[in-house]
Amino acid sequence: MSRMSEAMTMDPAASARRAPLKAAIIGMGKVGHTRARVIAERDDVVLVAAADVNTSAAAAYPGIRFETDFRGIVTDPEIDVVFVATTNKVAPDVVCLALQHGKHVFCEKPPGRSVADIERICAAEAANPGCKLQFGFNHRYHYAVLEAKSMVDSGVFGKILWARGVYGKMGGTDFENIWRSNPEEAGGGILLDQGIHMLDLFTHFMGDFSDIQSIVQTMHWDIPLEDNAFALLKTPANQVAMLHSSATQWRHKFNLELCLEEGYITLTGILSSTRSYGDETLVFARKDLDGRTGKPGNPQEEQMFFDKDHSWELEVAAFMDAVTKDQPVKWGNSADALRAMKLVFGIYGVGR
Amino acid sequence: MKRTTIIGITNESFVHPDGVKEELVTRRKAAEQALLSASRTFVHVDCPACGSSRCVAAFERDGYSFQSCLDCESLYMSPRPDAAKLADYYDRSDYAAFLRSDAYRDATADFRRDQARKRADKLIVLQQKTQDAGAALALYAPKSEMLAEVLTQDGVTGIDTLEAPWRTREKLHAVGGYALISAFDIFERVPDVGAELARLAGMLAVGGRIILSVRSGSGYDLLTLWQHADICPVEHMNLMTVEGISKLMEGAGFEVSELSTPGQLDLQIVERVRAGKSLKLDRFTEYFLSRRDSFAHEEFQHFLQKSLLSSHMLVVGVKK
Ligand SMILES: NC(=O)c1ccc[n+]([C@@H]2O[C@H](COP(=O)([O-])OP(=O)(O)OC[C@H]3O[C@@H](n4cnc5c(N)ncnc54)[C@H](O)[C@@H]3O)[C@@H](O)[C@H]2O)c1
Ligand SMILES: [Zn+2]
Repeated sequence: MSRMSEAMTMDPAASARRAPLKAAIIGMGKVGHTRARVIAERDDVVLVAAADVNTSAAAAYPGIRFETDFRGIVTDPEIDVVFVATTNKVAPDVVCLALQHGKHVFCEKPPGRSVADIERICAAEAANPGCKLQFGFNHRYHYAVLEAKSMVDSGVFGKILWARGVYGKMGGTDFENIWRSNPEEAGGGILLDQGIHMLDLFTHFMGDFSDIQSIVQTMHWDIPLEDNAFALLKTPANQVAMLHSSATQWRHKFNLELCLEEGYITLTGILSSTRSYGDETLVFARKDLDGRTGKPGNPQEEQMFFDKDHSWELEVAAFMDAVTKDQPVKWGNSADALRAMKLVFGIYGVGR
Repeated sequence: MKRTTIIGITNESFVHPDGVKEELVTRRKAAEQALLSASRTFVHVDCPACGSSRCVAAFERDGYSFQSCLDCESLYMSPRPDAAKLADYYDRSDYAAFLRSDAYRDATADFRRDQARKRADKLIVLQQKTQDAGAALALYAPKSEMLAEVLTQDGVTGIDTLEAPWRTREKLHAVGGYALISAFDIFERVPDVGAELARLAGMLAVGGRIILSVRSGSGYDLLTLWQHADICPVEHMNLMTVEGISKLMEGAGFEVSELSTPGQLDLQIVERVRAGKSLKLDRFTEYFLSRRDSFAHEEFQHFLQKSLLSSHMLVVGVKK
């Protein structure tokens, strides 16, 4: 306790000099490696342990404790922070156990395979109020999204009338055999895996939705989960958001249009390691009914390009800020995760 | 870093309406010549962007000498008048009186309103981003009051005005008091760029932002036309390159969060000056201008913007 109050009165430079917190990563797949890289770049946290049922990742982290069962690591009093990057089936168990043992937890999306999973997590969080819990809705930290958020929140174009989001990927050569296509491991198809990011962005910009209409189908792949989901959502203030989440988007695509009273903002492309979703751009224009700035119906637009993706770094920085400064988790907290999961399963509920 | 371009090109005649252009140029030339009569008092300066003293003579323009920095390639006037002398040009000349006249203001009202709207939009969003540094906003040496009007209409309050160096500055401004300072179309004109930027940096809170727009020293129009460039010597005494202004901003304690060249007029400027002075430019430009249509022109202008090669720069810095 005294350590915490001491820490809070320290200046930022001093807090950076404080002994780094000890972190563990559970699930050393693709995203686990990304988290390890981001942690290695920080001086307030150090990776000391990792767990994965598959031991092949261990070789890349010499000097780090590596185990196949996450329980020993997650319950170890030496560990301060747990990053969870497992499959969806395992994540809620890891998160709950870590919270019960007083760890701060950062968990990738989705927070499990069902609304019950996230509710179980919320209960564990409530029982351990000293622990910070954040979920990896990293799209909020993409520069184009940050820019759009500032524009919307500034009120410069008035309030949002509607949003239209498309997020799709092609599936892939082995798509039918990976854990993401296995209901037992994943709990949902493309909507839960990727579409959830777009749903999170809808709530980020527009708040809660009260009405849901949808069509959820398996159109192409031989899998027992959906490969396309179409949804229409409405807020209590009658704003509408329209989603298409797809695993048959043969050219990867991210597109989010926001129509506001006085203008519009369109996000196209999202930077990823392979750049397969295209360059990240934001186009905006003020509504121009008489064609003063361009031709009627074709106003002069401004286009922003973002050449770097620091979303992984920025979201971990925000999480570590919440941990070290004992501040509430601003984005990607359990309320955000619950909201996103309720939307996903609401869409499943009416659309299947 | 962020980079902005414009889709859809503004016509030059919207910016400089024909009706007032001739009179404006005549009066401006007279003011330039009047200022030149005090050239004995002009002072030699180093590169306003990077501070280097290594330079070569670039060209003479209407009696004013321009140097090219050997380190950052910025183009700048040296020797140059000081702030007191510039007051004659900007405040007391017939040219200044014309800029203040109803005739001029009415003729340019549409453009100024459109520009003020777009700038206000940028400032309102930047204010949102600088919330942690407070809300106080200052407009540095605003060319017209229209920007303040639009901001006020939008409900932005507590807007301060900071005077240009050639104006008397009675008001004392709090150190670290502002969250946001705008400096549109001014840094190409100030006699001591480094001192002015340092002064503004001092008035900003940590985490506060400055947004500035300037004519670029990296512009296709300038680099193609060079001694024939469409510049008014006194008003474009600092034509900093992308590299130069980056150094300047970093040196003044800013992290550059946006550096764009959203200029729209390069090709129109080059075409106009080429025709007006019967110039024969480089082979590519000659071929391009005579053989390609407006579609290619627009694409090329967009390429210039995207590649930081257009005539105007927009820079946003966050105070560290
Ligand atoms: N934010 C994003 O943009 C983003 C991107 C990709 C993935 N993700 C999320 O990250 C998580 C991981 O995805 P991935 O692409 O890295 O998948 P992955 O298959 O590459 O990695 C998952 C890892 O978890 C391990 N694992 C499974 N069961 C385990 C257990 N009981 N104990 C320990 N480890 C176990 C697997 O062996 C594997 O190494 C998923 O929840 C996914 O939705 C988020
Ligand atoms: Zn220089």
